[in-house]
Amino acid sequence: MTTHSEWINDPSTEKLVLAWVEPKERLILWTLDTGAVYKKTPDFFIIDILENTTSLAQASSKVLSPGEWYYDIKAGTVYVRMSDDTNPQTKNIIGTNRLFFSNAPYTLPYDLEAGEDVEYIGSLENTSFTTQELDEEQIGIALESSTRITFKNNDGYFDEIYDRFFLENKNVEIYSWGPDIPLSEKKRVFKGKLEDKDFSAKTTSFPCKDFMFNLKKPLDLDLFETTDGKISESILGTPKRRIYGQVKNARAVPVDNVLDGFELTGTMTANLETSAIVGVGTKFLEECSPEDTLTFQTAEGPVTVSIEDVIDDLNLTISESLEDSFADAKLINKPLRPYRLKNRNWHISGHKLREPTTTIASATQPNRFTLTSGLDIFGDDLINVDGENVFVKQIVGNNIVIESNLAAGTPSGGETVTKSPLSAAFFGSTEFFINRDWTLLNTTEAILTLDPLAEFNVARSRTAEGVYTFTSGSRIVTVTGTELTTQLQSRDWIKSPDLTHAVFYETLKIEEGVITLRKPYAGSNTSGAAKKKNVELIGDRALITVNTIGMESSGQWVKTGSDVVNNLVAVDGGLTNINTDSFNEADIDAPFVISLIIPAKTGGTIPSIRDTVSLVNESIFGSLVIDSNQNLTYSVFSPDRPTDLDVIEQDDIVGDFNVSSKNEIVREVKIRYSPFVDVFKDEDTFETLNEESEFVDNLIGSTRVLEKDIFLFNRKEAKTIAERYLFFNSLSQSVVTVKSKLNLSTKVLNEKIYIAFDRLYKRFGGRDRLKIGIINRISFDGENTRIDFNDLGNIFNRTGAIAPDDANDFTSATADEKIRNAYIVDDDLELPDITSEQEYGQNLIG
Amino acid sequence: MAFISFSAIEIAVGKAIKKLLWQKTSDNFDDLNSRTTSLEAVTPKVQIWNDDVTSAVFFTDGIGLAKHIAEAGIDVTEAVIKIYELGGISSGILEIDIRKSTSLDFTTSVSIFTVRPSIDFSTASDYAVSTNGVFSNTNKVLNKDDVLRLDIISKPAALGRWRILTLGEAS
Repeated sequence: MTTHSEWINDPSTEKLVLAWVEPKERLILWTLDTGAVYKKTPDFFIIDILENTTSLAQASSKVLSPGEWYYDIKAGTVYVRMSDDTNPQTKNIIGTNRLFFSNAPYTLPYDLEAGEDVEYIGSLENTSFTTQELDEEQIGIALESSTRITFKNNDGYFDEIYDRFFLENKNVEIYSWGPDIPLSEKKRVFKGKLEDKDFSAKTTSFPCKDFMFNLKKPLDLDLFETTDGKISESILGTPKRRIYGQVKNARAVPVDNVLDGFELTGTMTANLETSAIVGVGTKFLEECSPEDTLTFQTAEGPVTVSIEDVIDDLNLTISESLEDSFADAKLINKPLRPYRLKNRNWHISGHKLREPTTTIASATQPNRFTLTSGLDIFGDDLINVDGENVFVKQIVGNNIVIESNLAAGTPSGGETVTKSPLSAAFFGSTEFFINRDWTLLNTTEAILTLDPLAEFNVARSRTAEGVYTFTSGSRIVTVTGTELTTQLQSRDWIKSPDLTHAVFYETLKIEEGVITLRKPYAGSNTSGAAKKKNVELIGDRALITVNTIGMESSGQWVKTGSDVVNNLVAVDGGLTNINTDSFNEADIDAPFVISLIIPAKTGGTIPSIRDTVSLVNESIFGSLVIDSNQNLTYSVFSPDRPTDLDVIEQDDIVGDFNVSSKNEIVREVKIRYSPFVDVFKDEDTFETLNEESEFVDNLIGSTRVLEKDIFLFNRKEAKTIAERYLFFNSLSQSVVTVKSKLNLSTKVLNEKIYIAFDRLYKRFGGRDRLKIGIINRISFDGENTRIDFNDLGNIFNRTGAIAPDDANDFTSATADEKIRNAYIVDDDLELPDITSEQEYGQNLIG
Repeated sequence: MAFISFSAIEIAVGKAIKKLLWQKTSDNFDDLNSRTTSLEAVTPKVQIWNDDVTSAVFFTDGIGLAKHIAEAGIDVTEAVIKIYELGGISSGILEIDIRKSTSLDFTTSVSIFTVRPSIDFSTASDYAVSTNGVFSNTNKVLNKDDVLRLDIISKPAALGRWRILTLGEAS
């Protein structure tokens, strides 16, 4: 006998349950061994030495380098050398022990592999059922499984350690093995933490929970601090957002606010009972406008005055006489209209955004070339080709066509191509243009920086009413024939009628018949119809949104649901026992682009890892479970079936099976997807779509409507998920419960199986009692197993699957083939056999 | 890999939906895609305007300097203005617009640009070419019989000659 499954199914073999419990203890007293190496003989096996919470490096002998430790198993002695060669008695040194238990005494390696042998004490009395199930039907996260491990204590073994060692929240692992199989065939059946403890003179027991509880932690998001810029109180201390996949019109957070005002350049002086302020090194013409509010400090506190006029860069007047004087002072300006050199920096995310970079491999035309890699580049993307920004018209594999010819002509090859993570930036509903109006800082955070002329650039040029007279070298423009103050306000722009001097000038002051410019007019004297730009300026409360792709991790775009969940459990959860193959397969099953921002609203609270994973799971029918090796496994539910589908027959179960059905049939699914900010209403919202089921309307008559939020970016993909929700809820679901011995203990959540029981009812769309279902609950106590599996409204049998090339035609196929394969159906009757109605509703698209 | 048709027997009612059917479908799509890509690569460009504008000293702006009617669906891929020698001109901006209408009535026309191409003579060199034009990806696509109109928005008064190049390809 060589395998665990053979051993499990043989009732004559000895079944052992092995357990590791890993408490901690403080190691205080040490003796000097040699040099800077100290030693101690602890009561129990040591597997780790920490200074505070940091592990020292484990060495292979007692000849230690600084920061190392070594455990002599035979002598039971631990050696340590501190990183600064000091006595460990001056440090907080903690040892992690490992206690070895079994349900019968045995001598086995301490690591159950090739390590040195230790004694496994035969005081393990029993373990209760460990149960695994999902928190939602077929999607979701495996609920934490729990168990209670009980030890005999007649010999007082636990009297010494129950209170003196730190047992709470410590690691525990349980294995299933027997001497009839190699140690390499052992199976870990539980890995988790001791939650609590109970003591008596006869037994000591520990309720335990598995490592899924780590997912209750909040996401690891940085918070906004004062060092991030001038930020409003409502944003300080709130989390910087994380963006997954791709988002549109995502709200940016201002980090360059004016708030109560900004400090003017230079210093200022004013005398008592005057209205003149004189500056040194000041820039009044740029920074100030009439009716702006200035604040200066006095001994009695701040004083606020209003600007009457700005004479030049060094002189301005206020609207009243000063009751206090000041000299060489710094003043704060709170502008009436926003100032275009403020509110320039807008925070997008607390991480780097994905910025794919590749090169041109070859080119045939100035708008057609082949990239080295077209990964993460799509149609309508904005890319930079050797310094020139162009839009992608289409890309197939690595072959790309851009919307316009490159100004530099046909590339020669080797040119760098970079895709900007931001494809668009908006002020309200007005789009800004890359490089001209904005740039992106994309390193450890992503910050959009607006050009001081961004609002001017996008403002429309219109003909101004009236006749405008510009004088060369003068800042004064005289105007007749219009009510000027209804046409312009300070910080709007004006251009003279001279077409040979096509330069706009920013206005300082608007009065009836007179415009004062901020800079002297540099063209020739001219008079006539002018052009104006009424500029809407960005202030603290402006709505700035961006279309962007999200974060990258280890150089890869975190794009799909599988990518997101992997990132959450590995990075935020700190878990390393991850079944990577399962995540790769889930990526293929659901390659949909996620659209998720966390937190959903700026200034919101940080959600838990579990809640975030749940959002993804509901969007793609994902589920996160623990596999038979106690590794985190991710899968996307789909009605396909593996070629090696396990069959469970009547002889495999103990007693009879039980079937219960539940009716959650819906006739309509309403989906909200791709969250974004409505730039017209300044409201957070979603795209929507509805799907209805003709099948349910015609044959079931249910009126139930299912509403779901799914975090996908593309409408086509959201529609696929919506249609799946409708399909999966178009018939009642049947849950079959069976019991067995150890033979079914190796089954895992989400495993698909095929049952062939003698008296199960005949299935919809078929002629026999064979049924495929998916396991959604498993309970195991070391000897007995209970399994629930769900047929999900007979999805597996109703959906077509690709058949092997040697499959028989329907009329000669076996019952086993018919439950696995799909067949071409008649165009009108939708039947593979036009002489029978029994296969109605089969071979559907899943 | 060449295109391979399906036989009637392969897709008759009752036949198993075999992997080889899907493989054949996939292979056929790959073949079509490859041939389409090759065809696109040799598609000749449509030359809308490739002309000198002369005697320009006689005007400083101009609406409707030239018109072009699309003979088929066209996607404009390039629109630049080029100058010859500066000739001592050191100020002023040469800026054009190209507007699209569904007929010769340009009352409701739209520009094919979001940023019009221009050359600033205060910074330009001899034989400069505009590099700042940005297309509207929507408006630059022409249907058959759409009309394009070339407008001069501004030009230095003394500028006598310059060139317009506008190309497209079948859309």
